[in-house]
Amino acid sequence: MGTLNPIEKSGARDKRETGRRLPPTTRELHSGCLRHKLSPMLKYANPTQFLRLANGVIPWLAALAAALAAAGLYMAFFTAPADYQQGESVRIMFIHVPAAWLSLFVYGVMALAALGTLVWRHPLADAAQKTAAPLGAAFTFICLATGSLWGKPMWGTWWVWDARLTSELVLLLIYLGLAALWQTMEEPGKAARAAAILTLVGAVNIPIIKFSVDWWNTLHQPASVFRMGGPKIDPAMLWPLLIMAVAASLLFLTLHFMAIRNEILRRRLRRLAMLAAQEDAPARRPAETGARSAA
Amino acid sequence: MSADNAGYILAAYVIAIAVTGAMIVSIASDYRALKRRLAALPARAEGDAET
Repeated sequence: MGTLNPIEKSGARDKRETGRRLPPTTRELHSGCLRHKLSPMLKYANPTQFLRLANGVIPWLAALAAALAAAGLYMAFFTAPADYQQGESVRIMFIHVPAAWLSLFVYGVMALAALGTLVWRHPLADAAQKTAAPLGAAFTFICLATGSLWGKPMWGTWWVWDARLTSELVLLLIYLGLAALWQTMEEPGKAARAAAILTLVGAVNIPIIKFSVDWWNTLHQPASVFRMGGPKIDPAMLWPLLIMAVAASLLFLTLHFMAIRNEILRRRLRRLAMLAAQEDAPARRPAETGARSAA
Repeated sequence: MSADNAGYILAAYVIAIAVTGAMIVSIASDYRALKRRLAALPARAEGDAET
């Protein structure tokens, strides 16, 4: 019986012998049609490839975010008029509203990453999920704090327990809970799965936040940009708002790429430390045995 | 702009900039620390941990 060549070892032999095709092996996945179909996912599933992409993209994203934020802030302070009811306080909206949108958007990203962890087992999905939680918490905090600073002169109170504000506060608590969950579990695989399940359960809060102003009678005003019939605010205010929203989204993307890059390096560092410990162990063992027998 | 509202507006922007700045500084300093710790480890194992 001669030795099998590599192709004989794979599914081709089984198909010839049994008449049915077996699932592709890793070798087959990485060559031919399947590879072509999955190539974008496979390419960036590799952390080294992702690091290369991140290193190239981060400076451009950061520069674009800074340029748009500068333009948005200039328009917010110098070209947008004061509101006829809110007066100058309307300028708080140019940071409050993008932060509110981002607080929901980041959760959407985390929910997708949770699906990636549980369903597709994408190697970077759990890193994306873990690193998005503190960023989402920061945007939610900005939203709540600036909203409170707007509410005091406009509503006469820092806080009311209405549906929109309360559900946004619940979102902040979910973000903080998810960030804490990653810290409390030692085994990263278990933490990723637990965080993914909690993220998907918490996703029920997103439509509640969005539609709370329609479902309940709230002090918070209803949507004025993303609504049926189009935006109902003046273009002089809408443009700076949209520019600030794009700048905030680019800032999130930049920071998320940077944080995922950090997470990859942290895992690499942990693996290297374990390798070093494994290499040191056999060298230490004979010395310990010798010491014990001498005693 | 009334004096009271200017204070609220200023406080809102200061909070937003401070939180954003803290995020940027924390992630960038974490990156620098990780790079330093990786560089301190022996280069022989670098290839083993590529993926």
